Amino acid sequence: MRCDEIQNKLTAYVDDELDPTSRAQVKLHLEQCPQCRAQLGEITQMLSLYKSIPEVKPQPKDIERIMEAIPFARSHQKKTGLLSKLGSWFALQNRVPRWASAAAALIIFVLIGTFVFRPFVVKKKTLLEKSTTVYTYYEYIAKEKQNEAEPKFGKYSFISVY
Amino acid sequence: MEEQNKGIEKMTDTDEQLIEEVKSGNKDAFGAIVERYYKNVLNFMFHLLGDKELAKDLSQECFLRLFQNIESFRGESKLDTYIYSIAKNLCFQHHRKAKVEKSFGLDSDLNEIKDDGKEVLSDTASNPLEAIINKETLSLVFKSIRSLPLEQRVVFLLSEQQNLSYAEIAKILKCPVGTVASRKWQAVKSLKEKLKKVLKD
Repeated sequence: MRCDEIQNKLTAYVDDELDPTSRAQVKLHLEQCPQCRAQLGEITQMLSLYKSIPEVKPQPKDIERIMEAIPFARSHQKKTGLLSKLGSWFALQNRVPRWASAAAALIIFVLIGTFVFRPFVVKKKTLLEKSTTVYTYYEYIAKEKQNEAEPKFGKYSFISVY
Repeated sequence: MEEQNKGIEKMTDTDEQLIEEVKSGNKDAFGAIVERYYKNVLNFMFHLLGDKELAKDLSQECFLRLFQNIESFRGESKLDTYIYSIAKNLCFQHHRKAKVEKSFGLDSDLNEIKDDGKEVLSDTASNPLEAIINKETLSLVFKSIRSLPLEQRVVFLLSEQQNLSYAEIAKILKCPVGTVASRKWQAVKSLKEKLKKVLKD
């Protein structure tokens, strides 16, 4: 094996992560090659220098701070009573995909818009009329029935007012 | 006194026992997990990010996430591997956020080293062995690690600081073992170059 191939394996050799065959090859090469031995020496020296950096010592208040932030009591309370049951039901909703919730909300919104709020009809100003008139939907239907024979001018547009 | 005894008792439990107890609502068991792993997570975050306060905040977030996900922890991996996965994800998330902020010209600590380790080094001045080693040198080592690409830094720290095997690191990073070996070698090679002068002395 060439020196550069051996040197690529030196960290794995130091970490004892080579398979037995590669390990034996590297070991044999190191015995014969002073350059690779020097490389190995530099690596081990650098690693021991890193290991001499002292550890950060945690303060007891750091651990207290973590334990205070853990919502332990809330999530492990015994679930009794109507409020807790409602809470569990809402917790179940977390399992429903978000897109399904959004679709359901949209359908409900449209249904409410259609049945609860009455649409208004705006008859736009035409050449024959002097001003724009606004009817409720039911007024418009009644008016249309009355004027069935009359010719229609202009276009109608529907808007919902909430 | 009784509380203290309870804490000591929990410290001797295995990770698996503690997890089961947390799942059944035992707060002391979670406290024992935090006691067991907080120091390692804090040091990992600190060396990875170079900011002690940020490391503390993200360590807290790490244990919060562990708690939130403990029900889904089935023990397929070891607890420490699971904790380091959360910690690594938080650091990557922070790094991405800092990168975006930087690209928009906002304040960012992406390349800024808020702590150069000197504060930590001065804590141990009473130890004569460590006092012999020049603080400036250790600070340089600390800075050199921070200058490594994030992927190499994570591998280097998990291997050298947390003493994890390449297989465990590969599991955390969800990459092949060969990638871990190559990143570790790249990291060591860069550090060796950066610290050439110090190593010769």
